[in-house]
Amino acid sequence: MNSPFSFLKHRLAKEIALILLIKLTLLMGIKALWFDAPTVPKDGTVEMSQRLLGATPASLKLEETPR
Amino acid sequence: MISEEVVDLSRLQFAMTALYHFIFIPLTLGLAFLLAIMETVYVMTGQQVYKDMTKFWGKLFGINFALGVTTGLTMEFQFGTNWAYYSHYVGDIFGAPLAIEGLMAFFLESTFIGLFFFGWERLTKKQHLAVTWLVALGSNMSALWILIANGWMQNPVGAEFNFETMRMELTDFGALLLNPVAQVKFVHTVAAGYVTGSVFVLAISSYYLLKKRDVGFARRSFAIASAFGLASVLSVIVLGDESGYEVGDVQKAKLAAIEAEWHTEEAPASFTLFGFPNQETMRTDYAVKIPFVMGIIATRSLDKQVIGIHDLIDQHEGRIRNGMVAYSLLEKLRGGEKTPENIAAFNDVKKDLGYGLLLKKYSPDVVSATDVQIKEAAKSTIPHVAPIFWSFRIMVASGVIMLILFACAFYAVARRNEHRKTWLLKFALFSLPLPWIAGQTGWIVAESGRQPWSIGEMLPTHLSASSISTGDVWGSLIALIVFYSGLLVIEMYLMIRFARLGPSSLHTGRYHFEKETKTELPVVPDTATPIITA
Repeated sequence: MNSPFSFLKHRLAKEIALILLIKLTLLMGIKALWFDAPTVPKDGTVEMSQRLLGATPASLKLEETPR
Repeated sequence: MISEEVVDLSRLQFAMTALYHFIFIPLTLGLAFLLAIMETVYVMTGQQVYKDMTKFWGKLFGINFALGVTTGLTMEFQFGTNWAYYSHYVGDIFGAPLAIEGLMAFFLESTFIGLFFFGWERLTKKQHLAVTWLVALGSNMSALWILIANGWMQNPVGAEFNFETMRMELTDFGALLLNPVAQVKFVHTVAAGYVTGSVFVLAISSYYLLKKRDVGFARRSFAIASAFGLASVLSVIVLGDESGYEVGDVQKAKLAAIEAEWHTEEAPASFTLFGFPNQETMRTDYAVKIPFVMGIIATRSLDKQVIGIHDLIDQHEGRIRNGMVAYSLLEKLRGGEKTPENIAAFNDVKKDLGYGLLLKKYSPDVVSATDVQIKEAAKSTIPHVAPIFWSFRIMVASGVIMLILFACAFYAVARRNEHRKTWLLKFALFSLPLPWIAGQTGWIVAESGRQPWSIGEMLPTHLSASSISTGDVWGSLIALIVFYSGLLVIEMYLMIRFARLGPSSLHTGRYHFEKETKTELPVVPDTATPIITA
């Protein structure tokens, strides 16, 4: 009986798997180098509040924490 | 203070890059499927000419694909550079489909495009065919995610505004995915891409037939393009009608602008075929109307009204007044008065917060805006009618001409005499710009018709732009125009060069310009064997 992974014996499948693996490694590398934490703008909520409401409410002058 | 010049320049820059980008994209979408069809016929029949067709049209596809990718990249960066407040306000929702699109293009589309070009000698026929279909599927799936993002801008479903974070937050990913506006937009756009690919192949094949060279190759290409094109153009028309119905449902101001429907008419409303809309006087001069048509298209009924611009302005004035209440409550909540009563009252009216925000352009203090300012803001909820009215009609007229073209071409192919009909070949050749004209005007209708919103009824465009200087935007705008124009020149040069060379560019020794080993494929007899033997 064929194993469910028998398609990996084909050269094409191996090559595609390798290409995808290289791409995944590249992406993970980029993420680790430049995007290791969510990029939340400094005082983003306060700035948005200023943009929409025009004033900075004193009670919310806290820097937003990454979620 | 928000600079209107920055907003206008940023809009111009995004519109320019989007329209440039959409010169390349529809051809990619359409050619990918045509390549898959040609190669399928090759695998089924074993005839070498279909492999040559796949390789030659694939070469033109490759040129277009490379330049299309380049023009798309800058658009995504503009969300951060020119539309920072937009990105902050809706990035949690809008970013998801864009990221999925990027990953899909990176993992699916680009991987298989590499295999398509470099795998001819390394893969079996069937493996290569699978790769070609995956390229077609991948390019269409990329379009799906982009149009889900765009559909959400038109009809923001599955999301809610959170006053704590001052952001829109996703509440229902399924609703985002199955947004009816996005779905209709997707099928309409990709079908328009199939038409573009078909007109492209039909026009260039006609050029070879007019020059009486590579006739067998050109007739087969012509046959496939005419059949695929006819099916596609019919789909575009049906799906465009469905798109109009969706617009009538969720973007009433856009529909009224498309039709220059100033006053609500008795149902079913008539369709203005021609006229000169005048936004100052709110009437259409020299209007030529067809009774009942618009009511039937927009409402699918004989007794539902299509709301006119005057009535929409009145409705929007009410929503602006409601939005002022929402704005005032938001100020209280942000000021620390987070009582359950204030939160409940805000949740009741927050659907109109966007309308209240429209007033920011007309009054420094939204809550105490005057009646004149409110009326001014209400009037601004109607986009510029004339450009939308005319763009829509140019798009439809181009579609109708292409329908006639494909019907004539398909009929001639069925009679096996297309290569003798010089008028048809010239018609096809000179129709080459039509799908691009239709596509560009279609996007002008879709995006100008969304104004004054960047996110429909949620976030006004003038609040979405970044706080940057006009000099910054002018600099990037000029740089992009120069860069994109350069890319367009390269595209045109390469396309014309390879289109002129034709299948001779494959260096197989079988085609017109390869004089020394020239063995032209025999012309398929007019009445004997069919062109495609599946």
